[in-house]
Amino acid sequence: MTIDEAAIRRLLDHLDEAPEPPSTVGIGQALAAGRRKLRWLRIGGTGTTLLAVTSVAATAVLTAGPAAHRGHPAGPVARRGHPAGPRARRAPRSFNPLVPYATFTLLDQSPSSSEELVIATTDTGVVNEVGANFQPPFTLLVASAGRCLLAGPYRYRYSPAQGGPVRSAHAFQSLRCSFPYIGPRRYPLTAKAGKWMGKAAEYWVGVPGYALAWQYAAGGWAILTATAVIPAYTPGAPTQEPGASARTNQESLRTRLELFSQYVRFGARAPLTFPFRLDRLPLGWGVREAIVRQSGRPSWSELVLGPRGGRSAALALTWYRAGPAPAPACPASSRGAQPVRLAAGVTGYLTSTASPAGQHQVLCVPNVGGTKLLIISVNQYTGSDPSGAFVFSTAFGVFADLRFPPGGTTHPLG
Amino acid sequence: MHRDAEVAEYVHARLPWLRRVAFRLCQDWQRGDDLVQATITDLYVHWGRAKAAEHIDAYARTILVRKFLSERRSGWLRLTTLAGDVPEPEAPDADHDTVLDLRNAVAALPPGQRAVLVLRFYCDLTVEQAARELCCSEGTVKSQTAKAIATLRRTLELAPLDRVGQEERP
Repeated sequence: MTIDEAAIRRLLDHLDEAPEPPSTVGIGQALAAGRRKLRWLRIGGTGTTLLAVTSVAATAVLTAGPAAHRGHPAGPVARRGHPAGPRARRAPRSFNPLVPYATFTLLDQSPSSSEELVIATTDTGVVNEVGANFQPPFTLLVASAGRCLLAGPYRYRYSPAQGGPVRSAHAFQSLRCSFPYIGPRRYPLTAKAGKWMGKAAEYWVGVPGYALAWQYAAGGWAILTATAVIPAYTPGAPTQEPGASARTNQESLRTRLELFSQYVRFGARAPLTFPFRLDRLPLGWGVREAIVRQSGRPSWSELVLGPRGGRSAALALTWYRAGPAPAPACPASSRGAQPVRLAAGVTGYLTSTASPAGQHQVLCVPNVGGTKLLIISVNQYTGSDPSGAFVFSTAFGVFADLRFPPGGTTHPLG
Repeated sequence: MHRDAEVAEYVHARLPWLRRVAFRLCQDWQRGDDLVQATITDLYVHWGRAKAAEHIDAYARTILVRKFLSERRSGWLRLTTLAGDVPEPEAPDADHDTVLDLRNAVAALPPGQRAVLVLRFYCDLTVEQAARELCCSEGTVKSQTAKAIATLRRTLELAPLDRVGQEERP
């Protein structure tokens, strides 16, 4: 027999005859990692087409803007931060992940809306996502001092239409940033927003200007991005207005970005509240990232823990709360769920899945902390830490040290 | 449908296929599963483009192959390779020797050549399609294929090949 293409085919197919071992792919972990990565990738915009003029909640807020400006304490009164200058305050070198440094007050202005706000805070940046009914959804990034720097000219590629040909363009300035999960990124600064804003150090980012970047304090940058863009008017499109040209759409988007940016508040605000407290963590460990969904359903939050100074996450505690509405019961009777005695006489039901690449535990606790049901899952990020065995053994120990303070706690780590 | 649900549905349906391709690239089920997991993450991030693509499978396979090659190029693999033995799940096999010979032969190929072989002869791509997937010229695919076949000729002994041939003869 000679080795030719047919023989190679037979060789490769022959490998199919060997039985496959069970899968160790952690699909849930992969999706969670994707969500996390996407949140940071959305900054600066990835869209290529322009926004159509359709808005429900956002329009209501926009029209209510001037009134709020006059009377409401959270109105858009000079909240753009301090433009960098000789007397400007300095941006923090790092953030406390448990106390968001920046947030939208947009939702305060429209309490009737069913919008959702996700706040993800690391020590180097805060990401706020406003989604659901807002058109477009917005993502705000606030980077700590030194994370983003003004840089020189930058040649970049973009596609003016979805799926269209890719073009090359030149920006005279760019913003060079470095973020967790996605590493270094460079954003073209395509125009100075000064002619709209009348302030220095504010720029439109990307093509054709669907993000706004400005220096909120010396050394610190904020980038507000419209994360979903839809094409300019096309005949027959139900949600678009005839005559909405690319130019008018772009102007509308810029106006909206400018107005929304005035609802951003900087400075440490109310700390996040957690339904549990972890009394013991391995030496040198701390919070890498806290993600909280403040409204919307299903309500979930995540606390990412790991060794301080490490680059990647090690453990993620994700929890879901089912409120007073009819809630599902804990899977006490399902296969593999074991009742475990927690602190203060609380009983939970633990399900463990352990495989070399997909280790996780789920703890379901009924009637705790004012909620009908609290589900906490612990995931280990594979490949994130060289001492994987140690990390997972830690995960197993986590539940034994959980406390459930009444009304929650702002200090989740004892 | 929400992105999470769509990606999860696709992955659940195509996981066995993704694992098989990854295994052929990595020649190791554990590493292959890690590769698939990383691929799912990227697929989630680029789901909009994947859905708009002609074939989602082709899009996912491209991510898989490029991730495999980039991990090989970077130093990450050396950093994460475990020194000890990773317990391989037991796979009852009728012909251990043959399978091991084949696996060893393919595993001995450089990653680029292995990727070309898997794409051309396992995924049945044409030279042009493989070149597009690997971001290289058609000439490179042809030369890599020729080198891989030549390497396999040298590596594989006649006996195991005969065994394969005999098994497949009626």
